[in-house]
Amino acid sequence: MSSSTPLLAVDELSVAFHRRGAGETRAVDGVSFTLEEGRVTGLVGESGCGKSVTSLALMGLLPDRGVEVGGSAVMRLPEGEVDLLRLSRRRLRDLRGSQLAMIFQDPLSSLNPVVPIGRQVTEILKRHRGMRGSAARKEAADLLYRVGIPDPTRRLNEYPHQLSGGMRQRALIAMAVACKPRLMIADEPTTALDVTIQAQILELLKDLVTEEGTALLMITHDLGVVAGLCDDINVLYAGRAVETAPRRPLFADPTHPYTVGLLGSVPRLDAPRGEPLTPVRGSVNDNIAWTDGCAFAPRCDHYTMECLQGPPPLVRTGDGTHIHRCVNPIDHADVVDQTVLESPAVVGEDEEERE
Amino acid sequence: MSLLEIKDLKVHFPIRRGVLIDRTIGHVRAVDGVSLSITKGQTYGLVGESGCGKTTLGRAVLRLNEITEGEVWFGGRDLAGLDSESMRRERANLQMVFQDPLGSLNPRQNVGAILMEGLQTHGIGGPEEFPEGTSAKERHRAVEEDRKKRVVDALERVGLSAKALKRYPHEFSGGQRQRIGIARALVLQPDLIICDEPVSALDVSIQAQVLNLLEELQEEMGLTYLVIAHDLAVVRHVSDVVGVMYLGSLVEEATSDELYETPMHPYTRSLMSAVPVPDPTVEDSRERILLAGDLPSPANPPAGCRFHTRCPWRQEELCDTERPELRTLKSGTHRVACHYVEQILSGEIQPSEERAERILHGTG
Repeated sequence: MSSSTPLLAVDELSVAFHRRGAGETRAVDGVSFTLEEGRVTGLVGESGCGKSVTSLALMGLLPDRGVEVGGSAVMRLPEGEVDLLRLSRRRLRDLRGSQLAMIFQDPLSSLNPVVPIGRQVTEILKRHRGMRGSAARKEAADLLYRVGIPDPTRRLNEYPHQLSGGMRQRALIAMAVACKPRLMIADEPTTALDVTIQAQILELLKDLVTEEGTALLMITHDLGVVAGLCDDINVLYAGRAVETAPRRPLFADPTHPYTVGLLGSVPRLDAPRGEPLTPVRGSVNDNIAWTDGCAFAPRCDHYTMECLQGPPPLVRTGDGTHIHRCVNPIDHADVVDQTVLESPAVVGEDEEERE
Repeated sequence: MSLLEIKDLKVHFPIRRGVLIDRTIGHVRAVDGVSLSITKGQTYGLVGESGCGKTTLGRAVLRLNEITEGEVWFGGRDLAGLDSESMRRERANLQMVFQDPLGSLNPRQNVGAILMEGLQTHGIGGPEEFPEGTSAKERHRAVEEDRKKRVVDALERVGLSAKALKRYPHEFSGGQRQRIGIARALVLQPDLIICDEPVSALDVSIQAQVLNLLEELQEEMGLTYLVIAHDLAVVRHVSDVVGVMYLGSLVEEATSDELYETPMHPYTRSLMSAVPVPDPTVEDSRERILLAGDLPSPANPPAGCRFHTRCPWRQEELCDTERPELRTLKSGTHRVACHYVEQILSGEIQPSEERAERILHGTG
């Protein structure tokens, strides 16, 4: 990590949704991370852990009503530092597309189905770079070519349904990089795609980061994608980061039981066959509130009474880059035993609790 | 001994045009000549990308899609030739677990009714013979009791309890719904269960729970599975034999370990190289073959080898003219559909220059 101020410093970001007649739902509950130019930061977690809401909050895409956003997200811009969460809508609209860009999960629903690809790409060029007419079209064709779409001039006149899934995602990436943004957020960019196409898209994203020096925030549930692409990784659980580390230490010595459980859940192509998976038991419905203790405690095999004494703090270990939120972290020596001890998943308990 | 044998199965969907008069202007060849056999008590994994016809194949075995051509032998009978009534009866032995656990459970039926329906349809349950002179009411009660016992037993096997009986699908989490789907298949005590993407809609930790459950059930009940999935790691984990499909046909088939040790078909190699491994050291060092372009349209598949339009090892001869047969290699269990597989494996044929640049060698 560089010693200078980071490109984006997110500090204690929280998002709560209010609903009439019901308590608030805290989707994100104090998440902090930093993004640096030319680096990829990953947010990993299962559905409902708040990873997508984090990205929407940073982009200012959450609805105005019924949502409370707290914390700060300070971004370094050429003209000074700004807090993305406190910007006026107009100012944010200028930044989105030019300095900040987002790639969404579902490329078909993120493109306008009744507008040709060409007009959707040139729209950004017109809005942010003031380009017009044939110059804009030429630039759009260049962009499509750069992200690997063959025969781009013909594609400009086509509609989204005429493109394949991989090409749609490429078109979205072309739109995202049109103004050379300094920060890109990719929210599950490859989840809807096949593995061979996923490999192409990941390679493209990797090239963009190394060539343009863009900071990329990669949001995904796939630990394999994270292992190949991300430099720093935040594992989220129930709206909070439970473990943060550079990728090598995270995969080599995971300390939080949830991270260990996640890694044990993924069948690996290169692992010897016949080994049973060691998943986390139960489901997200078993969580307790962070204010009462560790939200993961009901699913954790290592929990003690200490885990239920209020929210566990973040603890720095090793050289200070490996951070976890756990009072009984897993020593790496135990992990080997633990895979043997862990009983097969038991479910059904939460079903009774839901009366 | 093979439980299910598929011979040269073809499923073609007509493409229709016209307002008043329907004209058939072509066919989508979703499954185009697949032969495979599944041994009793084993798991056969079918893997491929979307649009390769793997789901259609699974549905065709159950005759949920009409079979255009070919034979499906199951327990000494050709399912392709059965009329709909006999097929309906046969389905007591062949069950399916669907991909979308919420979409495949009726939201207005409670779990008890969902699981009971199969038993009622097939008239399963109750003692073999009733003692002389039992009234219709008593018979009915005995049958109902036995059915309920079977349902509860199936629920318990998948890790749910009898309390679930009176609940509705929306009250359960995704993983639990998939368990209900599995219980629905189990309650009939079928010989073969076809699992179509059983875990792709679930979170990773839940995925692993369901995969473990499927394995336990197989051990306990001696089930045979046909697992259809796009995730090679999942398929390899659960299967004894793996078949790789591309554009309606099998391109390679081998035991799970052999396929991983020595993938032979160029498509299998690129597919395997595209699967990310959750380990940075492996990720940095492994070879990656990036395929050019997308899957061609199954309505108009390329002539010759269907993979030749994207294959890095493509040769001038044969590849674009003659469709390779699935042939058995020396080892005896490995079947590959490629003209040049031996030469590619020995390194005699190198990937062509323009396509080789898409093969990335790791740095570590």
